[in-house]
Amino acid sequence: MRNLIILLVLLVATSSCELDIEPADLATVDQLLAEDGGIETATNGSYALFKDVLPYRGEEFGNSNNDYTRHLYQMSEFAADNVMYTQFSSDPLYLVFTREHFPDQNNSSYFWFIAYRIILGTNTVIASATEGESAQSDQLIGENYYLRAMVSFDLLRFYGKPYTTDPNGPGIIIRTDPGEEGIKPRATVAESYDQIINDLLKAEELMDDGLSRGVEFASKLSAQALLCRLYLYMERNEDAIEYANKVINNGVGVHLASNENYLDNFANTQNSSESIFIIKFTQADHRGKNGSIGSMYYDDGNNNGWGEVFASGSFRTLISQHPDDIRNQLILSTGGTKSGYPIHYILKFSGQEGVVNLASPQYIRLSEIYLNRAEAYAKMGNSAGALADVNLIRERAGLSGEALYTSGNLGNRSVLDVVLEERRLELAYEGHRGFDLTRNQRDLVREYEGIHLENGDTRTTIPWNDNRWVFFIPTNEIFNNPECVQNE
Amino acid sequence: MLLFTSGFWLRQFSTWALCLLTVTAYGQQVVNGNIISVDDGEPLPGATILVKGTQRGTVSDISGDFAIEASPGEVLVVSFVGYSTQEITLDNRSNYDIGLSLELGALQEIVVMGYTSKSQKELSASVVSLDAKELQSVTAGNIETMLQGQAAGVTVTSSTGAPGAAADIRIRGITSINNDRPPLFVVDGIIGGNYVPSDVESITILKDAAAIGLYGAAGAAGVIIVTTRQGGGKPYLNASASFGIKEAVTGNFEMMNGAELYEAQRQMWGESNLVSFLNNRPEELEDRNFDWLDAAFDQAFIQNYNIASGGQMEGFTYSFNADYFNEEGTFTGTNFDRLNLRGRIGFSPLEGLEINTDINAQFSQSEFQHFSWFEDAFWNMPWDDPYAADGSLLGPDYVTNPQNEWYGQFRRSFLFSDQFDELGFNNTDLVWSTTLDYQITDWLSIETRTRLGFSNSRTDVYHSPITDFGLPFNGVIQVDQFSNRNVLSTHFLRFNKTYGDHEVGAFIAHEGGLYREETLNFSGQNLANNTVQVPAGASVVAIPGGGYGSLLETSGISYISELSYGYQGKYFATAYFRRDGSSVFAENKKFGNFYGGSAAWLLSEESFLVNNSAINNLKLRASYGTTGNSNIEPFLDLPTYDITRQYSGQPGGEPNNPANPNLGWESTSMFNVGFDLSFNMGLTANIDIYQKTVEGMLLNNPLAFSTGYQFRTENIGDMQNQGVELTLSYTKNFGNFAYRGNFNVSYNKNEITKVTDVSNRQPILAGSIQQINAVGEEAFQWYMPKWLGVDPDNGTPMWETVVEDENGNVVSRGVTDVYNEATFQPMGSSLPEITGGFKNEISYKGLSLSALFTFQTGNLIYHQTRFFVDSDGANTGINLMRLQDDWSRWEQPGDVATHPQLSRGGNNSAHQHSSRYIEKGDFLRLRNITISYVLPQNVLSWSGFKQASVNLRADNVATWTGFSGMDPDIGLNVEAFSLPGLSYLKYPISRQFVLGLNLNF
Repeated sequence: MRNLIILLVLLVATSSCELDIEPADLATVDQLLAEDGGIETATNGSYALFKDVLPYRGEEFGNSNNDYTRHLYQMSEFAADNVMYTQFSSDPLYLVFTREHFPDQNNSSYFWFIAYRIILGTNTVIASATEGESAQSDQLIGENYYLRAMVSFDLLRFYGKPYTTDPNGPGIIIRTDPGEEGIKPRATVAESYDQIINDLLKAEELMDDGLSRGVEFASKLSAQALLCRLYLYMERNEDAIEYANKVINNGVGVHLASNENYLDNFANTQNSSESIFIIKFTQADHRGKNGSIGSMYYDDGNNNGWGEVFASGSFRTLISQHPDDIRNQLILSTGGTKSGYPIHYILKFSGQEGVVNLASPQYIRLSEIYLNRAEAYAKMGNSAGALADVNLIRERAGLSGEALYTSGNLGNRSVLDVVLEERRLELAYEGHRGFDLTRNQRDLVREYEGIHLENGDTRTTIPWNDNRWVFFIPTNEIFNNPECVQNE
Repeated sequence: MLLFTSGFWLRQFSTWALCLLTVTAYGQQVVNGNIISVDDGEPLPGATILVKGTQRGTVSDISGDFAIEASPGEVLVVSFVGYSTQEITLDNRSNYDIGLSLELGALQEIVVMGYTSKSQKELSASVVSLDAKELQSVTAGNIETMLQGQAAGVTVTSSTGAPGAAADIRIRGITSINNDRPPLFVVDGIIGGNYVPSDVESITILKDAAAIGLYGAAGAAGVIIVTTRQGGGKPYLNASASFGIKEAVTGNFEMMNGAELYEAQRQMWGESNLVSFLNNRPEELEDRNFDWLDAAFDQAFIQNYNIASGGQMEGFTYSFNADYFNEEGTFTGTNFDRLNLRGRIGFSPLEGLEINTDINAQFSQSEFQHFSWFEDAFWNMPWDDPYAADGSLLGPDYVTNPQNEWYGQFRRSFLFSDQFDELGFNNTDLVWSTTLDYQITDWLSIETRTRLGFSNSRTDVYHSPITDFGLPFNGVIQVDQFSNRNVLSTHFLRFNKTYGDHEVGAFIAHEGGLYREETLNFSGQNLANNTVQVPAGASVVAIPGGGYGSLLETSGISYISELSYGYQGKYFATAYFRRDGSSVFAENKKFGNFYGGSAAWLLSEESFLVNNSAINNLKLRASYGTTGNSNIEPFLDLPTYDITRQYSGQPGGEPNNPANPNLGWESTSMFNVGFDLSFNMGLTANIDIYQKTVEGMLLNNPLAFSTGYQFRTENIGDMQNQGVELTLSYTKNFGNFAYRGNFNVSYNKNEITKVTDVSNRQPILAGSIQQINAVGEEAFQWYMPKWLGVDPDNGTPMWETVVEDENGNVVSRGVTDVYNEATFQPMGSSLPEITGGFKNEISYKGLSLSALFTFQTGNLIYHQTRFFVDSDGANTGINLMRLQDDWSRWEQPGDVATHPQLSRGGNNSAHQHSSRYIEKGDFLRLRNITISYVLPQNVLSWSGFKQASVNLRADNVATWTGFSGMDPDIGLNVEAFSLPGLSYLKYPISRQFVLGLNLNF
């Protein structure tokens, strides 16, 4: 009897459990940032969110279509005129093309969220790290300033009207304090630009050319290149030229890819001589048919992609004027058809390490900087400077003689027309075309076949000031931050 | 054990007690008779037979026979404890066969409440108890499915018909919005555990706080107590077998044939594009008609074998159960197998000490399908034939190649993949439970119950290098291993004593539990060849999550007490108090206190009713209590980085959770009043009215995305469920005929009273489909533009625009034909308001026929499948659904139609999410028909069987609904890619016919 009671007491005692349990796959913010290398880990995490899929909207494991980079490239490119659609898709990228936006379409609402998640990551590092401790730590802090600026700028381009349209219109919600959760209105477009430029100048100051961690990480050069783009968007043309020159005359060996290396530039951005900042997708990050940028553009017949969005008729007309233009080789016309339309696959996002539709896209590459300078020159009336930069790009593409521009062979086109046409040719599918049009107040002319409106008729002209160049802010923000105004 | 549900012990007792009755007989004609139980066909010894209005009476003997003197026209009153009384008017016959049926809710029946057991009489909480016979008329691999329509307040939905899949259960509506959970299962007195349906002896469903409160957090959504067959008593050996055939049921949802699709596409292109149409869709397609659904679905078999044995020998009690269940799926290549073994022994090594120990081992495996295969079965076009001219199946080398003829947009043939791909799941589950009960004195005892559980499951996915999903990677292997270990131990000190009219019972208990789960996942590609199917065969570990694992631990501690009191067998009261601690909450919020009590008044024992000839039992009950909810993931209180990320091969972390140092228990309080009333004529009624109030609901409080977070888990919401439950049952015998009817219905109304601190609205989403939880409304409202139909002038869609002032009041409503001008607004809730079932059973001697109907109303379903297949031409590369009978298509100006004009690419976004696809989920289903026959004793006597029965059961016989989808019975849980009430393609449920055989030796 006594033994029995002892046994029972023991049982009671041993079953008392500890209620304090430490997580195994998480670290608290203080733990992580205090440890050696913690800031680097936290910084890398912000880059990881460019390609990772986060749980979103009840989708526990995420929707494999949802990542920052895919949405960045599709929300910009599909709104413009370089692509044609062959069939309906339940993927909301279709709505970007047809412009039938609604506030909670998965791509634009996820983009808003993930961009601010990245900003939160950078804010957390910036708030806890101390400047001046070492050149290495300053480099990492500088990377965070660059990332915050870059992501803010992408937000501003998608959710705000161009600076050239209305600098006082609503821009982004500026968040710089990781502890700030409160209700906050949108800054104006101009205020947003100021914030981003300050971040980039700070990034330029903190980073050092010699300390770059590689082309897949932010660097002093990438901060300067992005500043060049920003100044161009603001039509601060002199500043744009100044920064273009800084980048072109860089001391780190970045130079234009040669004609021979041109196609490899896209398949092998890691090693391309003209990459300034790339978003790295390793084989481990590749999501193949569901989620790679190239999946919509190319199907090799082995189920590696949907291959249902083709190069548009107007783009093909333009590029095929010069069959020896190497850029023709980025379009693959198989001779077959899909859904009744001739196939014209786009190969710009495929072939890294030999993997179909694996790519690490160049967020900024040197060709853009030349063309930024060309546009700035054109706007300042420096035709010779503008045409020289354009010709540099055309020569590299394999064009010569009559195919190069002189002030005498432009016909009735302006220098700016020529610059914008070259930007279209060179930077096609890299997310620039729509912003080039709206910034310069040019209408979108979709004079080519494809399916997106009734009876397959896509021949429409969309004015440069159409409201649906801009995406709606997700309902979540409107509900929970009542001072945030919705786009019209 | 205190288990008397079978009535066996009562029968033994009555035999002896009633034999002492002295009976005086007056000289009249002798009437002979035999009394059996209609439920099992066995004779009833010791039944009382009285001649109405006289003192004449007798009892039946061991064979159920009796003889009494009476004359024609007199009435015999035949009664037996636990059975309903029957009156028989005598005619000129001298011999009567009389069948008595078990009286449901008989007062003496013991109800197993988990931590305690109580007699029906003293029960003051709202509970439903069902015996195995009630449940096993429906053939299913799990109890959840069997409970459908059987008990008031219990909503069961079968969200999938996949073999072996369990149904969803909710008791009295949902308990929480983001952290809702199914009821708690308690097997043989200890939380958790395993069992198979054939092994179940009884089920008790605890509904009100007074009953579930004892279970604390885990039981907040209701508790289902399962009692398996215990050993002891007379030895038994029971064998049963059943086998059946089943077919998929796809309701009102039908796809087009080749000609219908051709005509629809011709209209999409329109007359003006006829040339282009004929180029794309040659006329011969009209005659091509491959039936993909017929190729995907087939009749399938289901079988179940069970052997159970139990008894008592040399100081031991024992029982053993072996059960094998096999269910083929109706969808090609799917099936489920389960073997369950249980053994239990009980012994008493010391006077007053009883030890019972029980091991349950369950092994199951299934083969399942890739979800896209469903899509392909429904969406592939009838113009595409998956067979080559030589009769072989075409694979992706043909199908995905755009040079080859294939009209379907997705260019997949699951029929080919099914030949090579292997998708399998297997699970091993071991549970060891031990109880130790020591009676210190006749009023004081200590008891300890401990359960150790271990389970390990593994999902293996293999896509061959030559199939759709394997091709891009030269073969894919994915292995996901999940294991958990858990221990739960409860120690009781119990007190039970009677002082004169006062009965007092109490216990205090301490409970501790630990749960640990680990996952290990691997995926690899580039396989050496087509025959390698193990991870070692993968040469590249290279897709997201190529190799990862996780570890999760939670723990809890509880202190539990209960006090119960009874006075004169008429007044009963109980009170409980418990203090719970959970590891998932913040530092100073880990403990919560919960309490409650109940009272009952047995009016029918009062002097003014005790002799009432109509009323047999009348009890009033009231209860109030609180319970907690801790069903959230751990560490949500901490500001954390997810440190499992990487970029360019370097480790990375992202801030993934905002801190909440105030994260604590959610509390639900429930108030319940009810009464139980039964009449001697055979009618029983139970009514319960309740209000369930959730406070500090653990809610994903949405944060503006610009903060970088989607939400923070906070104790922020408040919600109410109010409801009424009614159960009516009626039993009547007409000689050898007996009728039993049961009708139950429950009404539940949900209202959110607080949801977030900023906006009174919480949106929840699955992809692009939204619901909203708004203050003052039911939870889970669909949130989308309101569809206003089709403009008769031009066949285009119309939606509503709403203009609100600053205070949210509607200023004006208008009409728009532009989708992104339409106003998103709440469009009704996906929660059902009324659910129920009714069952009718008639029997004649050993033969019985029963039919069970279930019904549901008040819920709105979003039929998401229509976004794809009823989209007015948006989709030209998949098959389409046929229009329902009451739908119509706009064709020319003036047409008043439900559907816009067909147009290639869609008609002005008419298919975008709107209330167009919201449909009523009302249905009435003939859930089950059972014919059973108990072989008479005289047939059995030569065979050596004590009892034998056969039955024929049909499940999901017919459904009446206006819903256009496969099944209006939609799951209620919030899960990945789904919202409650969202209907997309799913594994269809089955209609099945099963023959069962049951033998007792």
